[in-house]
Amino acid sequence: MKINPALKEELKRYLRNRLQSSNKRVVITSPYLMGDQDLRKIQEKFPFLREAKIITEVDKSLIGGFIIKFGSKMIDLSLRSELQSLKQRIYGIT
Amino acid sequence: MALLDQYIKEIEKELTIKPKTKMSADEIGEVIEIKDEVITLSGLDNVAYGELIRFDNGVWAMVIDMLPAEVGAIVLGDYLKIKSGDIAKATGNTLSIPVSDDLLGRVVNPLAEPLDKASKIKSVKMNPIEKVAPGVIYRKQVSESLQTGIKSVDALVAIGRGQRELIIGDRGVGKTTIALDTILNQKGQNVVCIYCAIGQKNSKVANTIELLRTHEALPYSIVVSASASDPATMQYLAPYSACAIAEYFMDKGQDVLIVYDDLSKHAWAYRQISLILRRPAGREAYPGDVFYLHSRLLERAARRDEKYGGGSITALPIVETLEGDVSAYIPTNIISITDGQIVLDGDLFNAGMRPAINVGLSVSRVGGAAQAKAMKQVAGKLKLDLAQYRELSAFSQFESDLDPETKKFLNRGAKITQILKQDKHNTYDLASEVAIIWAATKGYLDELTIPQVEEFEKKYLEDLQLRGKSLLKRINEKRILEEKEEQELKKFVTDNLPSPEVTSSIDQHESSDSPKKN
Repeated sequence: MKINPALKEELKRYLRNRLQSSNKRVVITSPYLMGDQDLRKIQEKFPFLREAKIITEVDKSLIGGFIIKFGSKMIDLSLRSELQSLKQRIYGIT
Repeated sequence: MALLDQYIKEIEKELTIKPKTKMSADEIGEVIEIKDEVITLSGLDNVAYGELIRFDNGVWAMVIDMLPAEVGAIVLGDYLKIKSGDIAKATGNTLSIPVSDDLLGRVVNPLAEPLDKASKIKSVKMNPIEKVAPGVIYRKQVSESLQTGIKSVDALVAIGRGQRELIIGDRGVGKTTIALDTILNQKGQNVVCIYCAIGQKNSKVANTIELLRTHEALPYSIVVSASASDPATMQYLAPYSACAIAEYFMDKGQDVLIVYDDLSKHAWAYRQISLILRRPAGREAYPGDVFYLHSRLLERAARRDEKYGGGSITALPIVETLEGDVSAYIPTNIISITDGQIVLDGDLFNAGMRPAINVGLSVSRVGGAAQAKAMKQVAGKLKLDLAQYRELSAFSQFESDLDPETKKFLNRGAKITQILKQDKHNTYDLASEVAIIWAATKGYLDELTIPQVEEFEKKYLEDLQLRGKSLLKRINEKRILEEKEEQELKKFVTDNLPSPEVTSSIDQHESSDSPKKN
């Protein structure tokens, strides 16, 4: 199959863009929808979030706090994980 | 009361510590696939091979496969608790097990968790399960013998401390018995014994533990068990974990004996894991690295130079063959890795030869140098006699047509073969072994019938235990046979030979004996 060279260039550029943005894409999950003010506060604390494209998600099961996900990394500052580690400490799993 | 106080103190301490929000970026992965005990995760872009990952519900897993976009891991523990979509966090550690002297006399699983419902095992340090074997600089020649207490093994395929000697044979011909007898014989020898059961029936492992207990071998032994009902991942880890325990004792300068029972089941477990991970299958569907699987394990058996702390690990891997086929994939691999093999033969076993050691195929490539001098003195003649016997045994059918010389060889060989028989779990000390083999190789038993030889051995050894204690002690300590000892042995032999009325030819034998027998 022959691909039109112009089309190929266009496709390449599109894919490269998407790849780059996915690297900088950050998902912030919180138990309620966050407003701009909340986000700004978080960005102040985490400077690397300033250039990133932020996607917000809502997950009620977090109870409180928030989770920042980028790439395969995760910063977990939610109440749920705190409670979970407390539970584990009580049962002596850790 | 004291316990309650301790609790209160503990709680107070926890309350006074101000909780601080820890902020850390964790490396995470999401479960996308679960196949038996092997899971595939997406994410985890920055983990290392062999790194431990942990699920929120406390289940651990170890990374053993890394593909461009996903990571494969084996679950250590209950994989039924893991659901698709679960999040695992990388820990940055490789798999290590707690080791200490507390392990002695215990039965543990591959993660060093007790299986015997006794007290918790206190750990002194953590030893990594996978460790690179000591290099050439740290090693020393195998120069000290490890007495198995089995006449035929000690005489013909001597095992040295730090050696790796394969025990190979069909099922039910006494492979485990040889290994266990060796463990039983280490009582009071300052050798730590580790029995690693891989993929065995729980009932068999229970029998083994009972055997060790009744023979008072448990206090210096450790049983590491991953039975047939445990996940393949546990069976895969078991020998490495047993070796990690062995290394702890070697690091303390002690001699360790480790039995892997058996490595063919270990290869099966690894094959299962590899096939689930979709690794390309090779011969007999084993993955390409099945050789390395065993070589890196057995290479960890070593005799370390005293300059670097001394100590040794002697490995007795066991491999099961099908219909005596030692040229199958796994047996040939392990034969080429080890320093010799003890081949057990089903036909010999059925013919009543116990232990059923095939003397022709069994070799020990390094142990001879470590053999006690006394044993070397008698074993040389024994080997020669047996070799001649084997060569001529084909003619034994037409005995009447043979010349006297050949008949003599055949006769001697039959008596020696009888002498090498031994009941299971009945180990001999060095002196007893030497005494009975000495009697046979000197030709004192040539005139007896086979049942008489059996009778003689019993009487002779009893007599030695009764009247010749000092002689046995001397041989055990000096580990050499001198003129004086031989004279005394001769006296004991002639005292215990059946009286001339029973064997009419005994006089003739006696007269022809002394000058000529070489």
